Amino acid sequence: MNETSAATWTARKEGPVCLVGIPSDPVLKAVAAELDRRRAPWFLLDQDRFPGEVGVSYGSRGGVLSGSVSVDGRRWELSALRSAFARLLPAPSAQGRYERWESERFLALDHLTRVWGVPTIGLLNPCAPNFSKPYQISLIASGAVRVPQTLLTTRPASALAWARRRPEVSFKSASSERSVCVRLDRSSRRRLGHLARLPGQFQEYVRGLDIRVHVAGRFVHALAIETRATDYRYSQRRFGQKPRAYELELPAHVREELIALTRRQGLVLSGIDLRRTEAGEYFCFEVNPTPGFAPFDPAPRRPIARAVCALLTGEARA
Amino acid sequence: MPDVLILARRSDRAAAGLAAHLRACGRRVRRLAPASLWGGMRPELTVGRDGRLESSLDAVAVFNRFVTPLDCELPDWRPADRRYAARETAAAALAFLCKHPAVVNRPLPHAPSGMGLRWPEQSALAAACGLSAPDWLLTSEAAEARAFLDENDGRAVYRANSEDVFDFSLATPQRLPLARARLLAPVLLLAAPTGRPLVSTWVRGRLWHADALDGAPRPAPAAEAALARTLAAAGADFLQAVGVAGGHGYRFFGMTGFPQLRFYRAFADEVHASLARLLERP
Repeated sequence: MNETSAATWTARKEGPVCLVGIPSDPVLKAVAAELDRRRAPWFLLDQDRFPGEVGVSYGSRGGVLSGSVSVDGRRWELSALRSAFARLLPAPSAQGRYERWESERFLALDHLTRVWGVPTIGLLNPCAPNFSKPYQISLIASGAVRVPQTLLTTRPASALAWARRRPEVSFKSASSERSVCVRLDRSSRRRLGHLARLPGQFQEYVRGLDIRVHVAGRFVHALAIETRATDYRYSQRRFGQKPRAYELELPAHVREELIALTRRQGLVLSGIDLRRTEAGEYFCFEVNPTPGFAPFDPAPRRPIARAVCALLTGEARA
Repeated sequence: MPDVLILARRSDRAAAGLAAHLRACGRRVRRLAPASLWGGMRPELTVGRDGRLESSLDAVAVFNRFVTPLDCELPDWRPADRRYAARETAAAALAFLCKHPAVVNRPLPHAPSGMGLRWPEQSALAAACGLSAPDWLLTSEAAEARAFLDENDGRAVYRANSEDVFDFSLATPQRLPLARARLLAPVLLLAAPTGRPLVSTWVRGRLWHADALDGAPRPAPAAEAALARTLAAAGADFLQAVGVAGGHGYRFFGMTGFPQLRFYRAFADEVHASLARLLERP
């Protein structure tokens, strides 16, 4: 087994970079553009054309691993790949046998580079902690970064009592699905009855400056986001205006902690949601293993795409 | 507070067998179906600013048989909402069970007791531990699948990579839509050597073997040691491995974090006693 993590990352210096996902994904577009700028060869395994014009075959004969991928009739051996960047999107809702087929398609692409030792950013397994947010934040806290107090419960009365002991409380999904952070207000309190059927995750609302951090190996990029919205991603929808964003430098000890945190989660690339309080404390809300970094990557420099591509082409080490 | 909380579907015979054994030993057992965990026990979990996680799950130990997102009894909800609810409950269960001090098996997503470690990784792990595995091919291309069948004189089995290790089907051109240029979904083919299927049950450090004929075959000592290394490295306490023992020696065909009672019925008392010890002294 050869999973790629920052500790084991060593991209080859030749061969094409394999991108896996859908062509309209802004992140894949940004990476492809940067690879073009570096004149590094690449090709796309289009998730939506697999199986079909995109084919994969891999396995073991006599204990020897071999495999290849094909796109529109052109074939590449897996052993010849320089590295891979996967942005596999969840399958659309499918049911019955189609649901199983979707699982098979997804797994076949996810395993494609895993056992061959092709250095890959975005494998499924390291995403595991993000699958359960309360579990993930229990692994995040350190001396440099704290996490918000969190309650997971099915008891409306407990949730209310917990909320009363804190100035402000928000709630969001415990899983990585429908992950929108919402303030617990008078209107949402009326929906607490649903808790009897489904556990809910509540967090103390920490006031401060939102900072979206991307870590790619040793590279750290921080973008401050000023917004009135509880969840900065929905600022435009909620208030009809884009949040104000600007780059900022994090203190060295916080930078080092976020690099270490990314490694601890088994990742090479991460998107980290931080908030800095007026007292200068840093709170971490989650670590995204497949960050959609394109909107946070200032044009025209695109420092995050550059850092990712430096890893993919072997010009930088993790 | 129960000594052991058993989280398993009502139809789970392995869970029923262990529950009966534990009760016969005088231990207090509570058995809950997946959908009843939240309504039945109403556990709560808190995380402090320092990451310290505390849970009100009041059981000394947990025997967990959830391996996939949990079913939810929400018949009046839309399918998409039910699917969301299943993911939410699974995420919550992961937080509870990964931090509880005594759980067999922890549903870590990257272990066979979670949703991970499919065949490509299992075979790589087996090879790294010195265990032989059959030739295999995962392909979306019918020509490649046909060539694999020809290479193996038509003796191959196929199964879905995402499904349980015991669900094999004989691979024939009639069963697989090999007349098409492309398959509708990728298929996993494994060469099928002649020999006797052998199912090995593992409880942290101990192995029992069974087949359909005499119930007490063993792989050669070197193969058995390699199998033990593979299972120990897989990251779960209670596992079952499928293999084929024949003139070529032992070949590993996969493992599951959801062992089935029918394959260890002959030694059920020993397996249950080992599980009981694990649940007593994690």
